[in-house]
Amino acid sequence: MMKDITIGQYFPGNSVIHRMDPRMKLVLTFLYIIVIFVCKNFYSLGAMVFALVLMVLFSQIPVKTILKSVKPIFIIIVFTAILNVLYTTNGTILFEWKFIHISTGGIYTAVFMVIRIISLVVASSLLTYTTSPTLITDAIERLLSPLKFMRNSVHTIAMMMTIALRFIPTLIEEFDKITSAQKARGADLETGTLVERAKALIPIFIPLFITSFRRAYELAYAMECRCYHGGEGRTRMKQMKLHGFDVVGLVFMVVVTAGVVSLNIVFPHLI
Amino acid sequence: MEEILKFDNVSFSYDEITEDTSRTEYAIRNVSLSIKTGEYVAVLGHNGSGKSTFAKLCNGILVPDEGQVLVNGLSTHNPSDDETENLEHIMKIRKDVGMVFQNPDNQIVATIVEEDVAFGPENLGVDPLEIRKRVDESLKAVGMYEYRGHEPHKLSGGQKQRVAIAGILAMQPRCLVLDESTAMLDPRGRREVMNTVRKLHDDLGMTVVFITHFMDEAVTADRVVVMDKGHVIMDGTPKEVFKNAERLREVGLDVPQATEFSIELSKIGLNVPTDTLNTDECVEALSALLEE
Amino acid sequence: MAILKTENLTYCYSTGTPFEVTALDNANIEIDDGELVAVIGHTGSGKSTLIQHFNGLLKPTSGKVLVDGKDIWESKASLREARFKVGLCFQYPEYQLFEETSYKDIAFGPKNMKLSEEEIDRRVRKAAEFVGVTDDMLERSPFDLSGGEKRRVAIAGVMAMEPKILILDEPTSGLDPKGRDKILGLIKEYRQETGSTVMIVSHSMEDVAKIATKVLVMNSSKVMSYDTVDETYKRADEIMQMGLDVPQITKIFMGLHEKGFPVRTNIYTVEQGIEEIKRIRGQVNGL
Repeated sequence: MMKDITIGQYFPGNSVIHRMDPRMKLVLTFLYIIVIFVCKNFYSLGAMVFALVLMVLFSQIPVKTILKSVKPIFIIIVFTAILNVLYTTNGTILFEWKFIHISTGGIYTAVFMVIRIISLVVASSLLTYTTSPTLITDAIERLLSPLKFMRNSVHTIAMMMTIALRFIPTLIEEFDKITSAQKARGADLETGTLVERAKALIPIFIPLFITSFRRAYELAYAMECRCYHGGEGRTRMKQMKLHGFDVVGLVFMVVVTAGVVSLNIVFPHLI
Repeated sequence: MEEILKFDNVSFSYDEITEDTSRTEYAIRNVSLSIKTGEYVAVLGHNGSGKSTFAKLCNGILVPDEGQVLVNGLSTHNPSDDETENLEHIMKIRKDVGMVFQNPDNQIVATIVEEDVAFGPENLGVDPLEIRKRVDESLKAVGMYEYRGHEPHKLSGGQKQRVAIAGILAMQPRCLVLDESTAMLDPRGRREVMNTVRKLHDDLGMTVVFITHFMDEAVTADRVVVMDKGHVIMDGTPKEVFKNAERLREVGLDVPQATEFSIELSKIGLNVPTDTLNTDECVEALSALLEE
Repeated sequence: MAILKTENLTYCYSTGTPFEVTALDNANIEIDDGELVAVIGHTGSGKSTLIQHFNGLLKPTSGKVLVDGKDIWESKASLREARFKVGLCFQYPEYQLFEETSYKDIAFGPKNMKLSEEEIDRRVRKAAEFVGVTDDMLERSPFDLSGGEKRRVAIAGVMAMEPKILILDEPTSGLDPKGRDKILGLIKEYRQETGSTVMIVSHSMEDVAKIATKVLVMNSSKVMSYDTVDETYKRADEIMQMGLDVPQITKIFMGLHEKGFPVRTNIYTVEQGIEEIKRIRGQVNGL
């Protein structure tokens, strides 16, 4: 069922990673993603994987939960692997049949790409697992706030993101409910041509839109009643402060980056 | 005692008011009423009686067309033409009169319980450490402290409403207005909210205005105000109000079954008081009758 | 013969994962034609899961659902048949309205049944008249109607499918006493007039006591009892322990009983209460 999906996937906890400054986490995750693309060989990639494993351990998020984040992109991973195996033809040929050539080079590249994608996904989900969506949007807002001329629009966008994240699960539930109700009135959503099926969605989407507008209206009232008046003069309960471990995190990331660059130079080949 | 909320001959219409007032459809008409600090007032009325408009007039979401609403002595009308001044004025009013609405889903803003409770004080520009303190205290007051890290959409209806109440408490209001906040809840959720509000009134001395169409929720109030067609038609203690069973039914309301039962028994000539409000009182009265 | 029957009906969410939850545990029910059944239970007791099996919106994890003696999951055709034989009206049905006019909205179900134009028109008008929706309201957008009117249009939308079994999930939620009494009255009348089987899901024993012939009590995913209103009220204390409310009048008589007065405890209307007090006084005076 659709409502089983968790959006934002925040996993409450009190680990060092949880307590790190969200801005630092955001910057480091960003840096990590860039560096993972800089890796040219298994040695530097190994260093990145090692760094990631270390961070996962520090976050105290169960490995099972971490692996779950990879599940949705399983198809993409398989697809990438197959493409790389088929299209890379250097190294020793291991298998040949008609137009299919499988070589050692192909397999190495495929493994390399798969590790790269998985690290990418795990690194970004580590961010969402350990940081609440509100804090992430807050962090974006604060990182961009030096851009004075757009401060107000940054606040508005961050607020919109928070509200969207808050309401996605509610709307999914609503969607399920309306679908069941219209099915009970004999609506046929499973058969027919593409056009017919698209048409069959009208009885679901119109009520969904109408409820959403009503919700938006009521939410706006509720926000006004709680004295919301834009970003001006607003304080935050959760202060973002750099701690010792934030600096450690930054130094760690810089060292890993330096390591990756030197490993790239020392070992010019993939393997 | 001090008046926290005062309606001074207030009228309000959702239509344009024309010269000929006899043709205007008023949602609220000539309502005068004052609520004192520390009171627990239930406002009863069927749908369309004007009770929701009444709620929205309390903190300046709507402003009266005629008369004025005073919150702590301040009129909810804009004081000047200056926008910043008006904003400060209305924030002062909304900080004092906190409002909880009907649909629990449509008043929670943040994705984590404690962040939502912090929303109000954040808007007021309260110091972060003070916000933290208020959030913890408010969540404890509504019994949701252990849920502070949870996602709101995974809570039950009653729990969501308690979070919404905590969000208002964190602004440290002087008066809590609940606009049909139990209408969408199951019996368990309704009990949760009722008990929470009761506790806030008894322990913290919070002024409560509870707008509802459930009689059993009005019974425990200090004072019951009944509205019909935009007018206040009754105003008194629950005992005084519920005695008028006939009149209440006329305006589309129930009376508590215990009251109805006593009234019916007295009609067939039995000697029972007609102002019993709850089960216990009724059992007492009947025991006395049967033991005679 | 039972019009609706379940055999060892069990339903689990998220089967095959560690998060498996049994929402319905081995339900065996037999409902006779023409009953007005109240299904009570608190949120999460499994009552919503149960009713969604009756028209095949949910597929049993194990066990069977028989409508008119036929297994609804036997074939595609039997499932389709069940969907039209069993009309299900969800909670807050007014939020499912979508057409430009109330007429078109009520016609949505009958249209899906592929009925003729005349038949659709007949059914729409009949259902609308029954719930008190005027011709003028039929031509208007359902979104211009009041809350209570919208709900009646939505209920008419299910009634117009003329199901043999009409199921309504919390049809009175969110309504004020007047609106509630109106809907309950309509449901009672509907059953008398059409002779169909009706089920209403409710939290409120007080509401169902007024109209039901049988009560189905659900608690922690199980069917606790299925019996007449009288018999069910004999176990009022058990029902209260499940976190459900019983009418005040019932509580009064339970209180009197506790004090040692020889009163019946399955009293659920004020009229019954008065009779019982008269009876007891007669006895006491007779002593």
